[in-house]
Amino acid sequence: MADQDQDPGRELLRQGAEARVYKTTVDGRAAVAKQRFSKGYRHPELDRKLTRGRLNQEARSLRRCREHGVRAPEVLRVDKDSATLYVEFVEGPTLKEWIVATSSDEAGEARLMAAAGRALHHMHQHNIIHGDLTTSNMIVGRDSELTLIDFGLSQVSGSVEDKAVDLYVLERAFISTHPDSERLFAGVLEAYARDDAARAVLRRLEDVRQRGRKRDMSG
Amino acid sequence: MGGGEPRTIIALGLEGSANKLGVGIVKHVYADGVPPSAELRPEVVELANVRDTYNPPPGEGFLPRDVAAHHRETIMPLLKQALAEAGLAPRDLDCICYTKGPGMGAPLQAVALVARTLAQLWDLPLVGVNHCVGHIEMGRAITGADNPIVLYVSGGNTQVIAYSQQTYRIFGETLDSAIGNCLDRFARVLKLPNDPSPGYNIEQYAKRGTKYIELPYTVKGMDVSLGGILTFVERLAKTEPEKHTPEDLCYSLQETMFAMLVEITERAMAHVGSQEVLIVGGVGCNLRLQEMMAQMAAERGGKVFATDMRYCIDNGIMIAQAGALAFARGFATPIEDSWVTQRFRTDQVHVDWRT
Amino acid sequence: MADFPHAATLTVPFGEARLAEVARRSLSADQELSGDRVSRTIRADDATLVVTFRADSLRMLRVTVTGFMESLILVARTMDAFA
Repeated sequence: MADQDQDPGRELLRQGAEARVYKTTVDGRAAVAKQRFSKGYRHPELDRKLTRGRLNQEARSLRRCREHGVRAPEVLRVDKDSATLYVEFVEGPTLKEWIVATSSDEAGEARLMAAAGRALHHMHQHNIIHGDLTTSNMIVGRDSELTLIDFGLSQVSGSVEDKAVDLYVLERAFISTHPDSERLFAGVLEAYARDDAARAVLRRLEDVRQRGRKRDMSG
Repeated sequence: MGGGEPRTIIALGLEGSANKLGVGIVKHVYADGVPPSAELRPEVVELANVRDTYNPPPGEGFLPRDVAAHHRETIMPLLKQALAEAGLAPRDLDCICYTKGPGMGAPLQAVALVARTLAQLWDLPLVGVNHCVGHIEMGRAITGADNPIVLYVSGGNTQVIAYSQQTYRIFGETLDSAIGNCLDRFARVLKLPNDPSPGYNIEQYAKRGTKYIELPYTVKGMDVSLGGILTFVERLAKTEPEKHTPEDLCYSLQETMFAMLVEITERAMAHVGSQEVLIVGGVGCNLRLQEMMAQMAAERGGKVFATDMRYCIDNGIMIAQAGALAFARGFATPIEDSWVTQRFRTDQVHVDWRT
Repeated sequence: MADFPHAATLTVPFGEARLAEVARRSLSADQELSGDRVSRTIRADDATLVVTFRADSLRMLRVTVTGFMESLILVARTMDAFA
């Protein structure tokens, strides 16, 4: 709580469903502070468990990404008392913002879809499951490479199923966000399929999709 | 509005996709005619909404063939009751709406057979309706929610839906079991009665629970996974019955599963920038779920809409409601194309009565 | 085409050609669920409904005819109640 007072100049970047995100500085570096707030509708024990668990898991997965060279912001500080995570500020639009703003640049678009596929492949190679992939959770760098953010729902798992569901979540995010999502997402998958392990994940993705289609049963 | 010829549509709706058989009659009045391109907003008058539920013995689920037998036995008296309540003769009707799917095959088929036969005997158009769209349209009509995020929770479905470009798009859903199915199965483990419904009895037990038992919590993007929680809580109930009361188990199960549903609903609201939530489907009657959703909505400055047992549990009038809207746009289902289907996704329907 | 050695024919009088035709259309809309193991043809011959079943086993034939009878009775009861 004291932390908030130390930092009166921070600027609210966005308010999500479960966190407020500010721009601030840590030791003179441009930083992002992500403060999780409690949800009144949840049982207090469950709420504490989720708030703490996601704060810690996000920090852990970001560090793991960086250890393995997956582009993700550096963790600068974890403040458990205020449930705030401080990470390096990454410059650039989100992939969603980029797509909306640059609708006619097909070559650029194809390049970014391939970059997304490569980044996800790299992340999965090191058994990091993001858990909440959307085009808003990827930041477009000047070099047309992507930085992955928002690892609150992440986990470490080597399971093909978990990786396939990770991609399925992204596919549905594409469908609900972007017209022409099929073509865009196909570009992601094409770049993702870099080795046999990745192709096994894509085969499982087909199963996960089928389950989705079959599920719609009686009311 | 158009200033066209006033038009009235009286629709009969038949629903039997699961263990409830429902017959409803609705009247839509377009005082200025049916607008050719604007969203349809008729005055809605409920003329009848009657229902009969098949309840298997405690500890048992329902089998499609038993449900179908129930529907066959009950449908004639229920139809007569609905017409009598509405004070209508068959010649007063404009169309016959029935559930085309999704649902259990044999019960759907039994009800569709009656609908087809009546349509021919009375020389009326037949209108096939998607069950899920029926729930959404009835919920909108009853609550006045204009363009809400919809949480559809029932025995067979768990979906977060948002309307866009004449489609009800599924933003999030369960990756395995449906919420109502999980609650029903857990009620069977505890041998709770099936009357009035297993979920209702879980809710009553949960009200008396005091201790929160930690259960798995799995949200992935806007999807949830419910199967793991059920397996976990079933094991607790079976292997350590002395450690946990059924009341605490029901309480913890509801608190955990409902928190997941509220979380993905809030994510969808944030995603599309909506301030309204509409809860439909049988599990939508649960007051604790409504309360949690209301709290979430209030924290965002939004509002929750829910209906009571008459409408959130499967019923006939919701089929009449959605069918009458489609019919006003000229939609009808030829007898030859009126087959039923167990799988019929919400996003397959062209919602041409909205803009 | 599968081999369907077992067959049965139902002949159902409806009293009126109109009603036999109504029954034919109502009953024809849904396919048999085990379409690879049975075939079914329905026609109205004046006031009579003629239904032919062919199946790969006697058991399958029995199950199919029994199921169809339930549907047929439901259609007939609808006519009794509302025609």
